Amino acid sequence: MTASGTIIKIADVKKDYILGKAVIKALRGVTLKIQSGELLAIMGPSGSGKTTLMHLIGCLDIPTSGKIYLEGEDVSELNEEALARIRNRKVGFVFQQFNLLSRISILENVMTPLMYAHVPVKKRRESAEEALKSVGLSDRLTHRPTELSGGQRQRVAIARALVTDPSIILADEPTGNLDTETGRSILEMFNKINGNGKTVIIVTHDPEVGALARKTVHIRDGIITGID
Amino acid sequence: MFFENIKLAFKDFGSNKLRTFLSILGIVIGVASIITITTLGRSATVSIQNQVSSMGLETINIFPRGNDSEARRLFTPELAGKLKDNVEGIKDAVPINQTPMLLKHGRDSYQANVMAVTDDFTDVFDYEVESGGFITEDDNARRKSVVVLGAEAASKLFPGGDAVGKYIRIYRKQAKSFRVIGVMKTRTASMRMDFDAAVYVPRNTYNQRLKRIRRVRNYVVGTEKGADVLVVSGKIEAYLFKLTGDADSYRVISPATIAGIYTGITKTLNLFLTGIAAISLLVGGIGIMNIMLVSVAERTREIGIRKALGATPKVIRGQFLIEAVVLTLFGGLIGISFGTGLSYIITVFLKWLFAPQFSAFLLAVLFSGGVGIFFGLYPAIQASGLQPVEALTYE
Repeated sequence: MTASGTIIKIADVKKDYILGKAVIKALRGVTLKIQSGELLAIMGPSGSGKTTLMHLIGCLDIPTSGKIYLEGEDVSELNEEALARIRNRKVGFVFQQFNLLSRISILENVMTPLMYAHVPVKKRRESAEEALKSVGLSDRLTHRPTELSGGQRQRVAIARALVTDPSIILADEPTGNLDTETGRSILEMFNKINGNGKTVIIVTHDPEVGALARKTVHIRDGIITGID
Repeated sequence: MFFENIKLAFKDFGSNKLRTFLSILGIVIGVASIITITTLGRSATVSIQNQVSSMGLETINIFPRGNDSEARRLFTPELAGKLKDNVEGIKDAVPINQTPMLLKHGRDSYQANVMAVTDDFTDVFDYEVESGGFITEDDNARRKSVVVLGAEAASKLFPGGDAVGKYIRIYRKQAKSFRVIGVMKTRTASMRMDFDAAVYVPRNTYNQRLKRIRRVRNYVVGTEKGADVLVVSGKIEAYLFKLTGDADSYRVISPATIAGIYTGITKTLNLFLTGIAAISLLVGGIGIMNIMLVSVAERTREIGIRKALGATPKVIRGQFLIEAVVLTLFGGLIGISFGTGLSYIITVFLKWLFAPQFSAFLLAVLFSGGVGIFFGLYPAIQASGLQPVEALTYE
């Protein structure tokens, strides 16, 4: 994939968590540039800070210090309202736990981000149906997430991440709850998404995912230990 | 998004039916009692007003009070003329005298109030003749031995009907014969007068043949068309006070003042019961707040997911607020149905007119919605303030 400029710039980012009286330094100064259209893996053992890094890139949280730029926009000191809008417009999330809303149909699940983007209902439905079709679930639109298999649920989550047409897809251990075969098909899906020009960042400790990525960032104890 | 949130709220209640029901119970009871109270209050007022206007709202009753007082001496047959001359707005002042006596026709007998009347009696009381005619000026002037029967008196003395032209005996020390010249239509009893159970004889005949009239028992005043009954009644009071100098020696009562008293009582009762209803709504509201706080805690992860998908704090706050309002409105509507049903049953039992107050329905809806907003706000703010990362990783 040819890089067409920096989409994410992380400059000396630190993140502390306060747990009771203890201060946990999850990130101790991370600097990283991610090019647009990259398929990047962030690897590291549990507790390394890789999920924290993903949360910061995804605007789910702000750093204790340092700067983060998404498509040139400084997002490190924005308030919750502004962060929510950026998450909605620029980022699509795929989680290990799928994180679908269990009380509504999968079609409504996929329509939800568009609702927050104030897209009219009719257009929402069309886009959501299309996204579900692209992940091969056209025949399950009215099903609840609980009526689907793990692989199917993750495909719903992917459809939901893609439906707003964000430039960045963030996946946190997307194959963690799936069997090898299903995991592979999900990874293939990410590969395809990346082929369509989206920047895909997968946080994982699965070497198979690492093998798929063009670039792997290794992180341990809150600092980057290597990029290959 | 508004409609999605309403839909979502219903979905949530559907999956927790018992909990939803219990949480809105307070609102249901509160609203049901408000509706019952206002509906019954209004039904009572309307029923009383109907009853009062059937008595003739335009009449005023004047009684002497106590024995041997200045006022009692004042209640002479001449007072009628004095009142008409001195008080504006009076059309007739009818002197009332009545005594219970035994009446007989053949073997049928009946104990009735014999009333001494003049021809203007029917006019003042809006009292109608069924058959024959009423006492005329001529009957009175010539002291004719004629009688007009009230509806009940007629049916007791003439079970076969057809009383006009027949003779009855009125016992006063000895039997005296009177010719029946008319039978009256039935009329609701009012102003201490049971019309149907009475018989009517000319005033002068009564004075001469039955009982000597020294003092008038009371006067019934008919007001002129368009005159304000309460104003006329105030003027009468002022005039009587001028004559006697003692406000305790007479009493001036009109159906309008009675209606006023009833309305006053109903209002006080309404206020009191509304207070109780307000307390139950308050308690109901706290119940809603409690259940919403539980709901926020249970759905922390859902809130996290929604935030990750781009829901702003405002949107989350709106979602939970709408849920609380939908919940209380739902309770309000159930309460309205219950309250209306209950008050309908009560009015049927009390034989009142059922007069539901639609403004009360509207008020109940607004109020229950308001309770939802007030008590849902805190839980909604709690939900909107959750940190996305913490909410997402909440187990």
